[in-house]
Amino acid sequence: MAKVEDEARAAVLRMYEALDHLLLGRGTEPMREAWHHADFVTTVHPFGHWARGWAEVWATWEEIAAVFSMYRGHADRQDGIGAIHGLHVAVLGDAAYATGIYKSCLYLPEGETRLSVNCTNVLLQRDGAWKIVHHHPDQAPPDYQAALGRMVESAQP
Amino acid sequence: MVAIDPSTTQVGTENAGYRIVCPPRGRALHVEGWGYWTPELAQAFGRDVTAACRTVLSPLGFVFDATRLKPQGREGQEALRSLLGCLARLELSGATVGTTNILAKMQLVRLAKECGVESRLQIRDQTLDAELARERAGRGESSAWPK
Repeated sequence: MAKVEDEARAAVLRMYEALDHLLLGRGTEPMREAWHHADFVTTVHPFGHWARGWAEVWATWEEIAAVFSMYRGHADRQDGIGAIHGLHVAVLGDAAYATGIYKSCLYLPEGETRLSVNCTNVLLQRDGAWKIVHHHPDQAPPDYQAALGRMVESAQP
Repeated sequence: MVAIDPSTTQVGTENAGYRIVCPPRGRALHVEGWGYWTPELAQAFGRDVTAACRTVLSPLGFVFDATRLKPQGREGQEALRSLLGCLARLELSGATVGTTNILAKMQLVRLAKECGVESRLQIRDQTLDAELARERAGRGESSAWPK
């Protein structure tokens, strides 16, 4: 069982590495690879509403990538934006769920903007591959969401 | 397409669709969009909203109720560009876009910038505005959206 749990854990960590990759403007392909592309997949983000089905889910990730293409705070930095902490993974047959705390720091023109949200991810193993089918962080505080909104509004087209 | 009256075009289902209210040769255009648009729905919206924009007169009062609209994929974004591109060519007496999904709002702001019309639209996130107002009131502040 430990080996299976390790595989599921690695899939969750790959998704969070893909998230940093996406937020830093390095591409969306690892995020696409981290998910099963099925009608039953679901996601919500620290801002926005539920997306249900792969088309909707993928549209949200692409929009987040578009939004963060306007982010310049890490242009001269070597550290990442965020990571998952306290990850706990439980495997039940070909399904698994993972809980943890996602912590991130953005360097916006108005200052450091930190986020700490509880997260749940659900995975399925299909054809030997563990991938995400459900992603659910807490909603970010309104001030954090407003700061991101201002970043988009003030960005040069 | 559902025929409600000659000035209204409604397409889609309860989950995803749009409504365009546009009296011919009128000075008001009211658009509502909801859900996630399939490529076919997005293409229909682009066609219908472009046709509607051809019949209106300037200066135009414009309202876009996007409170139930989800962030759109490639085709949906292209359809929204059709609408925003039409607005860029019209004189507007007022233009308001209402959202409740901040990711959808950010998408609309981004597309409006691309189309050069963002400074002429008031794009609001009604849910976030209300939450910020409550938080600021709790802290004894008055501004709902501090810069």
